[in-house]
Amino acid sequence: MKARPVYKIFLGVFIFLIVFWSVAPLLWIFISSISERTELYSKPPHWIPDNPTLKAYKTVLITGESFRGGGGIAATDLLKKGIINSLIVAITTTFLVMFFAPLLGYAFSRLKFKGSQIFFYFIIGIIALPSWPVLIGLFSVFSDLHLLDSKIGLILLSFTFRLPFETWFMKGYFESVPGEIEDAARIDGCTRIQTLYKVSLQMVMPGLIAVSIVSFLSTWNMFSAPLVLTYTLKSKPLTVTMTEFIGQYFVHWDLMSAATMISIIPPLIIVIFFQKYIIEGLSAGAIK
Amino acid sequence: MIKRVSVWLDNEQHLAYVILVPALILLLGFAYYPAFQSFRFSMLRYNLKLPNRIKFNGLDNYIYVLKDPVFIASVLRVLYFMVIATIAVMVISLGISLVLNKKFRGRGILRAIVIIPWALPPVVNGHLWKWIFNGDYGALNGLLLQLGIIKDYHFWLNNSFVALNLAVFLFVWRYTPFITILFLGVLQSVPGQLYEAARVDGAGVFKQFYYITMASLSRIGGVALILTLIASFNVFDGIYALMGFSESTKTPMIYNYELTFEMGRFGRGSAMAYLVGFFLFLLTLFYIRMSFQKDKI
Amino acid sequence: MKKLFLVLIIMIVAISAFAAGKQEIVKEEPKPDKLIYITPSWGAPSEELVAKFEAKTGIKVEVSTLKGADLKTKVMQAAAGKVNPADIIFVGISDLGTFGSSGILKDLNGFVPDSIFDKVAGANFFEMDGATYAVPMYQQMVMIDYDKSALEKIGTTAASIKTWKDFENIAVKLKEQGIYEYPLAMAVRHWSWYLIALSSGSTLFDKDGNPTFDNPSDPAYAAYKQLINWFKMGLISPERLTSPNAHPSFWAGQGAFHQGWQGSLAIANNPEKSKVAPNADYLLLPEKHFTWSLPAGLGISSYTKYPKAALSFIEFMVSEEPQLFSYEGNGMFPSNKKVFADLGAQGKIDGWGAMAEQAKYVIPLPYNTPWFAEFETELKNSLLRAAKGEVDVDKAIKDLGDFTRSLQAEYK
Repeated sequence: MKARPVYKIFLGVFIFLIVFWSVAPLLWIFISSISERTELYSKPPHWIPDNPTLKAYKTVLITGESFRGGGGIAATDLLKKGIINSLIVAITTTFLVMFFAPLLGYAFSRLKFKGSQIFFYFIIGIIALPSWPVLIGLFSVFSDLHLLDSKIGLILLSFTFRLPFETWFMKGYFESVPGEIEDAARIDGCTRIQTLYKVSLQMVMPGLIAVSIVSFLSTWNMFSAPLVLTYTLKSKPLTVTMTEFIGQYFVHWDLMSAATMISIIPPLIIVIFFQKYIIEGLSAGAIK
Repeated sequence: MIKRVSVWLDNEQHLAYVILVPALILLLGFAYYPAFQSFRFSMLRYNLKLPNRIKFNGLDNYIYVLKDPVFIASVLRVLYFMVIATIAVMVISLGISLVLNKKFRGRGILRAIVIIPWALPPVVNGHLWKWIFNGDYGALNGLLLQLGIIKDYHFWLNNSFVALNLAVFLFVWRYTPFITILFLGVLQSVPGQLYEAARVDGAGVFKQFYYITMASLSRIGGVALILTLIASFNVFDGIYALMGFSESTKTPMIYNYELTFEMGRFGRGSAMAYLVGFFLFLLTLFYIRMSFQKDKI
Repeated sequence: MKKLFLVLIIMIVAISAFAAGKQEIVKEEPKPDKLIYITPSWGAPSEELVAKFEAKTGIKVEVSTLKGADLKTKVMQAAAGKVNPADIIFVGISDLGTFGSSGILKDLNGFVPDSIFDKVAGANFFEMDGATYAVPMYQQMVMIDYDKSALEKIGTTAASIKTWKDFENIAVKLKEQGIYEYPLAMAVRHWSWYLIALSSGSTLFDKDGNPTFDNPSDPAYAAYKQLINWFKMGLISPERLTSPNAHPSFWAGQGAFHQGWQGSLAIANNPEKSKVAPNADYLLLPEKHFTWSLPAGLGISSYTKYPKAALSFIEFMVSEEPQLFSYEGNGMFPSNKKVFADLGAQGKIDGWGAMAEQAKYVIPLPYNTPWFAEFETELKNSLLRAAKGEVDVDKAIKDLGDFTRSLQAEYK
């Protein structure tokens, strides 16, 4: 029999290590963002700033000082518009995913139809496509379709590249859920579509939420595609505006830290509030 | 009218096609067609700076890339990266998931905390760690100095080998939560009674671990392995933000970008991208095989 | 019969209307709803200026700022896909060879009236194979600026620096006396090498473009070794290997000498932006004094639908107010001859005298060739390898020479 206290100590140590591993870097960024510049550049660093200040946040959100001139766009605009664009693109994409994912999962798991294997591979196959060539070709396609520098273009693009994951995942999830209830409903006279929305949806809801959350995060974090396909604040997401920002302030680490803190808030919020779903959903889909 | 459509849609074949059509249009238009377009480039001698001298040269670009010492070096680098990263991710994820599997107060909060690194945009990640590794004022230096591990500040990223390992670390930090959650899911589905029964039977902690825990993880282990290998190969944003085009961390993905856009060698760049893509495709096939094999069991 | 006649008349009218319409399109460029201008942050006009332009011409301009590398990527991608990256493109001289040969820039000879070219200095920098690809927006001689008070601390002045060895000795003294940990605020990079090599009398390439720098008797050879040596002696901060930008370091007062540019005193002596103020001054490069220039200009995309409108924007950008903004806000030296003559006469240009002196010693580098950009990429890697000690310096220089020759062969 193991001694309980020793076990507790070990557990405690591990928990501490895990928390430190996950959070310490962010904590440091947070500290950097509230430190005065002079304090920040000290050896060794001031782990707890003597004079914490919100000056960095003010500069980044309100006054927008810059190096080598401000150019035509205020730094504050970069952040704000970037956040709005990212939100719009990510939320819309997620809605689309929420609509299509159950349909796709249902199609591949419950329906028997000619060519299902081929179609499945066709969808999954795009993971293997090399990104840079696709991006070059995409530039031309977008240009022809007048989708350059548009949020719609980004939404469609993101949705397209979410397809493999959501299809694979929902298929798996559906397969892990017994189909008898659906059969019962069909016998009762429901059409397939009715069964889908009245019955199946409830059963796969945790998985669906997980897929939606993952889609939101993936879309929020997109960088290289928007970098190429957008020009102005009309459609640039935060990941892109932020790097310009950092380019302007590349040694003013206090400002960069403030910008970073701001940009990670939405993902943080999602994770904190939806972690249960992410975990349940991902794990269930994986076990199947 | 609606009734007629409903009935028509009730047919498995019809419903499936209707669902799939939008997806297929998007895939063709935004993925396969552009990919095909640039596949053409890979067979052309196409240097952007000599646009009047484009000509078909078959597989020459592919041969050039395979013989290119910079490419070969990048491949060796990425293989090292993939191996170390995957081992690290699997081991650390296992550790964390085992801890998270135990019941204790605040477990939910800890789970949320663990996921955080994965939720951050990779590009932001790169900048974050660049500041931490900073030679003049970085947190890493400060921490190590105060713990007495080093006597003076070091410029970590200057050393090529250290820089590569730090890039691995960046990826590991970001990707571990994902694999941890996968493992956790499997662990949590193992009924507690199994452990009870084993204990009653006299099995010690290690035997329990080996026969129950590891056994249940073995199925997902293969999937996790492949996923991590693919993800570690694909790293771009983080390395780009951390090191730019520095040779020390030049992986095929980074070199590809440089070759195609910095140097304008579209022909060679596309060929390299397709070579790389082919390798990824093989890995992906493995992955699909593996997840389908689980079905059969 | 009547019906046929009617049909014929209608057809004739329709066709002529169509033809007339088409002629209209050919003669007059449609009014753009907006123009896109891509530029790095220091080439961007202020919002007020953009509004002024719109008020004057009715044309809306969207300024898209990008980091230099991202701008290059975008332009290259557009060139490959044969699409329009933007209507007006900022062309830094280091991108001239790449952009120019890719066909993404419109040849401005014959399109841009001489009246505009005559207003600005440096148009010849943007000539390539008989075409001119950009209208210069700013001039940028590369210069060294330094902190006078630093030299005073060790009891000397800039006048004592006649050779690079003198320069080095002062730096070493500053370090030994603990005044600066890293007295040289510069990177171990192509520009630092050019500075030393050119002013030592090398031209790096002969008039046919063949490399001369790998010849041990060429001053550039010794310059390369000297730069690496300075790094190894600890005169340059190791952080410069991963973060090459040394400007903030100088302006934070952490270095005595700085690789600056024509106009950088506007920032160095601005107390709001620099701790070195008001002690910054230009240092005439020692030995043979030669330096080079890194100007930038504005080009028009070959794929734009509105070349005339684009030209009107360019004309605006090289006119007085935007040029003044460029100098006062971004520290970029105006290309507009009248503007900088006026500023000089009013004594508003800090270091005017030193600039005028240095301007006598400017030589061109082969930026207008398609291979130079790739050469510079390899050069940067070469210097880094040598600085890190991964490769022996003599071998590094030899390899660089060999690389350059085989690169050039590809472009013949």
